Amino acid sequence: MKSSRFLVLGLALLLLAGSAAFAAGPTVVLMHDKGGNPDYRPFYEALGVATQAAVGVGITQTPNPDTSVFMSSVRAALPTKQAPDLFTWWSTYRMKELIDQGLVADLTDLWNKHKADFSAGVRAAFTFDGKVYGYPTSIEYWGVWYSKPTFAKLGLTPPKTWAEFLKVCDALKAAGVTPMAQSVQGRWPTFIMFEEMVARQDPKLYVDLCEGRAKYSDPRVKAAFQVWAMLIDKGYFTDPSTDLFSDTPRLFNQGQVGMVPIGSWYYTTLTSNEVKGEDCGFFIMPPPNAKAGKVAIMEAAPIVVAKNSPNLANAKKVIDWMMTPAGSAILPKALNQFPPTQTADTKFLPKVKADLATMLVNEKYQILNRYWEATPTAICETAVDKFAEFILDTSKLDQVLADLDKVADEYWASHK
Amino acid sequence: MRPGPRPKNHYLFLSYLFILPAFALVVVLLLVPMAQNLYYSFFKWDGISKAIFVGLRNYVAFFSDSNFIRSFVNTLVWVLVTLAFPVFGGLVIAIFLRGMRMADFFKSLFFIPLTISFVATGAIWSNMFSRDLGVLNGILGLFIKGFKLSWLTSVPLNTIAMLFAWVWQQLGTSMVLFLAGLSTIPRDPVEASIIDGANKWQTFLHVTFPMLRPVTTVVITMAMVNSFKTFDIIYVMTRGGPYRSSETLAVTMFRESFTMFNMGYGAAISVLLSILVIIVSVFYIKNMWKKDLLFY
Repeated sequence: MKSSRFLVLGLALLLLAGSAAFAAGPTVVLMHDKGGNPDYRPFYEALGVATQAAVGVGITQTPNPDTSVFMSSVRAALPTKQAPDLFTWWSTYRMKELIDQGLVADLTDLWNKHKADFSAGVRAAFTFDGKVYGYPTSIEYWGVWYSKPTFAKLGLTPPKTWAEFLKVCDALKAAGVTPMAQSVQGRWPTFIMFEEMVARQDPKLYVDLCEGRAKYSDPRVKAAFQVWAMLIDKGYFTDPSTDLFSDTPRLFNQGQVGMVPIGSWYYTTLTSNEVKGEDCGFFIMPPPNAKAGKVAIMEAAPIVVAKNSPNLANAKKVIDWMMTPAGSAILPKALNQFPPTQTADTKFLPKVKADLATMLVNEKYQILNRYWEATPTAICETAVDKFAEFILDTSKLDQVLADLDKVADEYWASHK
Repeated sequence: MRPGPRPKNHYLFLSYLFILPAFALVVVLLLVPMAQNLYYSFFKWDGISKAIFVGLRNYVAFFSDSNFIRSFVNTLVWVLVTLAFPVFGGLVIAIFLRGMRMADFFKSLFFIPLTISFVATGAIWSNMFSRDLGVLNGILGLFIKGFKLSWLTSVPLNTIAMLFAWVWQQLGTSMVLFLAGLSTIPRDPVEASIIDGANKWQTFLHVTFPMLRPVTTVVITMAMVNSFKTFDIIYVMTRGGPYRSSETLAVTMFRESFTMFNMGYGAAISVLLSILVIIVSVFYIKNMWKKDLLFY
């Protein structure tokens, strides 16, 4: 009698669980590296609710708090049948190595379907041998955040030319304000000024350098480094030990640092560190070489579909909806980021970022890819350490360039 | 009828049965990965493509890598400083705390850092060492006008700064172990030496310290092994930088495996690191054993 009661109870529980699962509907697994700082879990949860409502497929997250652990977990899972359906990644060369191994699903059909919604530059960053992979959840641009109160106090305006930029730096320094933040902490921030200097010296040279068609010892690259060295030697930067996330927002807020060259996403970092949104201004760094023209550096953060996804059809269904103007606005809206589609509503953007988007379109800026993704990972990871060596001692320039050539030559010799 | 004594084999079987779960875990989570690691150390592998057999090339490459010497020297510095400060310091603190007023308070004081994880310790000290906003430069600046050191980006100051944080945390471990060791020493030989006219220093040197040798061996071995594989505190504070200047062998291994995805090369470094730790530990323990210093 007792055992039959347990049997009925067990069956009832099974039925309940089954109906709950039925009610929840199918889900796809999204593996991401934003499970620590920053923590995107609530945003991806909201995205899952939206995809569930729109296409009947929810999202189950597998968050990772550490990028290195996340990358190795994804790489280990992708060749197996347990591959995540969707995973966050980086564009261009960071994605290419996975594509070369046949681990990423081809989304060309979806890109063709939504062709009118995306700019050619965004599509190009995800195109490999004519096929398009991954979908960028947001786009950010790299430039210079400046403190409006500090500029106003010193009667400064955002510079339009290189000469004006140097004048702004001089004025800030004379007033006891460190003109710009620069850091070697965390390794990667060292590429910020490198790409600013080289891309604004000659955009084609920057692309050629990233893709192995130019040498780091090229006189034009050296000239770009010399401009950077001049800025360092003049004392226009913070001490390189200044952390961009724990120190710089506070120094910016206290009026001790005037400008921060970094991505437009840094707005969220500043405002979450008690900097008022209306105190943040943004401009694209003027080129030292006027002939370089109007250049903006882009960073696109994609969600990629695994080729071995156990739920490939549902994963593509989710991406298909995310590529619509409505779907593409969900994450950017939550994160104050630029939607990847040209047609998405951008009214939610803070004014400073909305103005930037308008300026880039109206003034026909040439869009280049960020160095982190634009050059092969093996070169980039060594280069950021070499840039740090240069930042800490500009007299090592020739040695640094020779070392960079050695690393790049070794890579391209086996990958061309 | 009373049951007779159970056969010896029965107990043997039960003993194996009880250790089976733990043994299975060790095999699956330690021995198999170790064997896999050794296997991949002979391959060129990026973690996703097909592994290519390269024989001993990863090992040869490491010894011809200019970063190897720096990484190796840094590791040795970590080991030596660990032996000099946390181990020796822990012993000194343990001796002075015995019979001292408010000993429990001071014991807790030295023990608290040990309860903090390495990652949290790294984060705390990174803030302390911040050039512009750090407490350390702030305090020193009160005494020396304009004093500002870039603790974490000046070489070799960054390694010294991280070692300071490491010593701060590790001191408690040695102190606790030495306190436990001191409490096991019988009073008789100590009292006998005092009656024989030995002063405190002589009593410590010729009676207490020799009787502490078993504990000292454990503390030194543990400290050596821990400092050889130091990773987390460095990863949090400098990531081995700037320009790889503060990397230890463990950090180099992590960088090669999980940043550069040279899995085979990273595996070879970890094998070399393990061999180094085993050789040093075995040599030390054997030496103590040979001199009959492990027992009193």
